[in-house]
Amino acid sequence: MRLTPLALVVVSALAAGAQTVPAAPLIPYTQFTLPNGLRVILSEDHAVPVVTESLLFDVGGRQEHAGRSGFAHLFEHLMFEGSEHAPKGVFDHLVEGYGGTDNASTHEDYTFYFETAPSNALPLLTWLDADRVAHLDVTPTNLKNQIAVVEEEKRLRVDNEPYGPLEYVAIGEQSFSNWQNAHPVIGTFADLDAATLPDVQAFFNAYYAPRNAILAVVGDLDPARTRVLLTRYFGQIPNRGAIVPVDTREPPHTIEKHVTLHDAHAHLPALALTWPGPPRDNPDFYALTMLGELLFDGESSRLYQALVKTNKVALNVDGGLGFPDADYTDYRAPGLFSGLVMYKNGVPAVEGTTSTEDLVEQLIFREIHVIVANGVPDDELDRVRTRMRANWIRNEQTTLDRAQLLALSALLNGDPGAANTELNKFLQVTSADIARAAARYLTHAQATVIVDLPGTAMPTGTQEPQ
Amino acid sequence: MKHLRRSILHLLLPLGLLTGTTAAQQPVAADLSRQPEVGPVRPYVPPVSVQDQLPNGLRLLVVTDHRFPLVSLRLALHAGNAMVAPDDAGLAGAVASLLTAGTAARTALQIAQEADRYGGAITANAGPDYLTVSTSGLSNRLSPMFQLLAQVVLRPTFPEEEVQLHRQNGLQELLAERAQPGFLAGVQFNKLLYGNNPYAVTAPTEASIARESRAALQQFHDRTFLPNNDAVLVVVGDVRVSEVKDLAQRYFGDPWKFGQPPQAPFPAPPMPTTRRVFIVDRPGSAQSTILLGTPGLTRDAPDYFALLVANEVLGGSFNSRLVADLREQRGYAYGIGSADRPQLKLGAWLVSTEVRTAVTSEALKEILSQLDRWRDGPITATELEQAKNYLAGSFVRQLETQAQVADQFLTTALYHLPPDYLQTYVQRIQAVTAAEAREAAARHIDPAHAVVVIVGDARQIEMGLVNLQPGSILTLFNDKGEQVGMFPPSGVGKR
Repeated sequence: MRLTPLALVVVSALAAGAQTVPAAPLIPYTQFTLPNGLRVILSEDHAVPVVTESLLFDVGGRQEHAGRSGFAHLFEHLMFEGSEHAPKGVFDHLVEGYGGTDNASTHEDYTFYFETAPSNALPLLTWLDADRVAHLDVTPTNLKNQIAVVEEEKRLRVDNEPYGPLEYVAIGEQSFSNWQNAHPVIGTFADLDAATLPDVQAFFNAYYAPRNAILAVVGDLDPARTRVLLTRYFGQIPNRGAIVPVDTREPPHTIEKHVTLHDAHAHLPALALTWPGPPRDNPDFYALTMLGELLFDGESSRLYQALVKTNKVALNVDGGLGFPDADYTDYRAPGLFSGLVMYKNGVPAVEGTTSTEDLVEQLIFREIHVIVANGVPDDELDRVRTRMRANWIRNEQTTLDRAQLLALSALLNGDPGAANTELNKFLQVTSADIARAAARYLTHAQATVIVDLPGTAMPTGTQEPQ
Repeated sequence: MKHLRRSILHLLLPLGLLTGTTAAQQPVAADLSRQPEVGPVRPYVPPVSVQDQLPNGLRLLVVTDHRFPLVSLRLALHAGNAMVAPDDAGLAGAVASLLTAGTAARTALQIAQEADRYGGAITANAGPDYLTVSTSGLSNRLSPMFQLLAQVVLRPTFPEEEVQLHRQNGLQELLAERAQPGFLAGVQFNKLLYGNNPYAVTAPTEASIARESRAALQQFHDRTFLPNNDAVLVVVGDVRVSEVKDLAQRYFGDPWKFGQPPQAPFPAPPMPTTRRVFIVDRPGSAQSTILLGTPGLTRDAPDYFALLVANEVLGGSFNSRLVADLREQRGYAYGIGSADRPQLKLGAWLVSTEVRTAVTSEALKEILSQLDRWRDGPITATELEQAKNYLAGSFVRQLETQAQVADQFLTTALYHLPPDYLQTYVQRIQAVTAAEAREAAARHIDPAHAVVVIVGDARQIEMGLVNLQPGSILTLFNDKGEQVGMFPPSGVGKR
């Protein structure tokens, strides 16, 4: 089946009257499960002779245990360091040598691997992926090497980067109470250094088993032949150890929390504001996603207008449901609704506020209260819907986009078909839905406020309660 | 139970989505000890554009792509940073930012809201050579997109209050950017590589921001925003060519008068006689950011493709020599790469990486030794084939989205590349021989005359760097780009 000509879904936008809007092109797919439990999704599209093979494992930073923070991500690096029949170097050598590219990312609660390559190379990608899931082969030298590489990644993104400690460490640590959720996915140097080969084997046995994975292959492929190919390579991989269940429940957050940090590399102050978010399978998930768009997305957004233009206190704003680690496409509870504001040096506090950071916080809450009290005007909500729809379509354009969307839909919604139906649920959110969700979730009592001040008044990463 | 659940899932699928998967076949397991055979690459035909030129000189490129109900628009002209005098550094960027801050018909907020209505945003960006205005949206809103694009390009008003806010925020943004090691390295590198040449200036200063005024913005706009100032309009997406041509004539033909395009002086950059190492001091830096570079090639250079292939072998991909050595062997860096930055009149070629402070001089030493081996030693047949295949494959992957297609066609038009450039790109890559690649590297990239800029904690790295090149003297800068000292401090420290 070709992706062109496009089939269009038609939905009715409730609040915009009875007007019908075509939503987004459908992504065709088939799915099956191998006897070892591996879920497989195929999507055919011959527009360009390119194919993406992706593997999603249902494991991330949250499955780590104390003393091994950063391990899920370190393990992701090790998946490129050689397997029994494709020793170190062979993976990239072959994928790139046939004209492809590969990469991976580790998240709070999943890990995603992909290769995108000319479609003739699909058997090779399948062999390389199957061999590393069947027979990963990590040597002491390669483990040591990748610990060093990951430590450089941590220095690059966190330790040497203004707001790195805020975004990658403090937001999680301050907003969550349960260590499983609170600790940073990038880990600490001490924990990374402590990683051993037995740790690698145990993690591999428990979490890198076929039953814990979703394989999505998208692009210039023949579904029947690809099914045979994938079955021949992945069908033989046994499940190994048992998955150790991890308790990620969060206690209720009932008192507004304030924290001040000092950021050695930042030259301007920043403020992060977070609230616990809803489960994904909940009307408030859709409402808060739309609220995030209208508060933070683009120059017409409420908070850009309030903080940057009208009150001239900030340089930029960013945020939404899942921010900064995720967004609505991969949000999974327990998660956050967050905002991050970089504001100016030397803006005086105005009457009714105690400091610039207090002014920033008050302006954010003021916009939330306006929405709780008045809802969202039709024309504003229509603009947000139109942007959401256009962005959704933009994010379906590449084989990698579609592989990721199908695999995440299978993981988070239990159904790859959600890739074709979720957009409608966002477009059907009403003003009343948004006001209700804002009132329920974005309260003072559930907020965590982190102020990140430039300078080294205290060593990086330490905090003083206010 | 498993089988049952799986078949239920199949039944739940919309029928139209089933593509003939049959009941559980159990094919024989593949032998993992054997690398599978790979068939020939399926042919790929890049998209083609319909080209036109309006009577006022504006060039138009249209690429139809009906896969998605979207359209991407780019309008670019020769009004980049190199068109600005050094005292006005940042002026082209300010014009780009403030084009969308108000027109005769709309305020900044109304412009953003109008873009929301077609599902996009409208933004502008000043590069070294060109200023580009970009927007995209749903293809059934093509006409309002054209209207808004024309308003911001042709009739910006640069409202006084917006200019003032931009100036005020510009000072704070400059402060914020100086916290970024990559920004400090890039600004200093360009200054040192290009000297008095206009490509030297890539960031504003406190003084140039203070000079930003409504009059200066308006004057730059009047001078450079001409349809015959190398201007190009690219439209890619779910559109009809005839409709695009009509809209282009209506919005950018009739109302836009041609004029005399400005010329900027282009003095030759300095010709270094030695390799020079410069430090931008960033006390407490957890890493050293290293940029090592030389003048590079423009896209129309006869051996541009030869250098592209050679560069690929050295540092163009994950499989390259620099990554294999500095990351996978030594663990010095998370990322390292090399690339040619091909500007209109003179390119730059550079290696960039970030390494932990303690191995700064060792990393630089290793990069230099890789460069020597690259220029003096052979490129193997395997390396050559890999590099060419990777470049060919990357080319296809860079034409997947409408935005990517728009950017590729914009590049071919702005850099005056042959009309068959995209159609012959892969052939040109495949035609490069190992000898040609090595020759291009040896001819154009001379590490003995390179500029090296290192952003890091000077006190921790200066001794190691001097020892790397006995007798050398390091020049130290602060984060404002001011020279603050030499190392060794005497400035004449021969040892």
